[in-house]
Amino acid sequence: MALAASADAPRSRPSVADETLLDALAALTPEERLRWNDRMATTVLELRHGFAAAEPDHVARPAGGERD
Amino acid sequence: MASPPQSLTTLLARLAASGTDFLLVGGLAAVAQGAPLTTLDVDVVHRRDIDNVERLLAFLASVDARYRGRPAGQVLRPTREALVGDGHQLLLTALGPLDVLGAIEGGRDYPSLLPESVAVEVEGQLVRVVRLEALADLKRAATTAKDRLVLAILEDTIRRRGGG
Repeated sequence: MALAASADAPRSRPSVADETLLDALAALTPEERLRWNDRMATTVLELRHGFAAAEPDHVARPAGGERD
Repeated sequence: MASPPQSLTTLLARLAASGTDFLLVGGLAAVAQGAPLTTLDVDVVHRRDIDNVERLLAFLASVDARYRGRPAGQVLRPTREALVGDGHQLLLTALGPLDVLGAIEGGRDYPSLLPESVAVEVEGQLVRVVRLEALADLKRAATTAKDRLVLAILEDTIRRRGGG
């Protein structure tokens, strides 16, 4: 049933996922994919931490302010 | 203070090494099967009989598990009573966030999901992972924009894997 539901998805729909990344991940073992996620998650958290630390420089301008 | 490196792979392997029966679900289950997603926690559905819950409790104590989102200084630990129920225990461990789920969408619990899982090896341990097709079916019942985006990525991954 699950496979049939997947086959029902429109084949002409453009991919949402990055196809290069899909192929690269397909070539890895499950453990290698999990370690890839660990690296990505660490990067996301570092970015979040960096943005939070720099908050005074990233505060939103008030509504109605000039746009770039 | 910099964020510590994430060790979700090791968290998962150590949970498996504890002898606890569980299934990996959620984003990390999709990642393990090739979906290009990034997730910041481990989601598992555990078997809720008392022997398994005791093993899970011992493991959780070994990784200093406590509930996330508590005020500073107010540490709350998961209990046996919570883990035998079908609720969601959203925990932080020494190795990263861990969501321990008694049941997920549609009341799906360990026995009902087990036939839809496959085994993968992680750090020498066998981990049972709910199949991509079943993960996609679960997402089809969800309604948020994020869930719809994840569903599209899961469907792309299934289609690519099938060569379609």
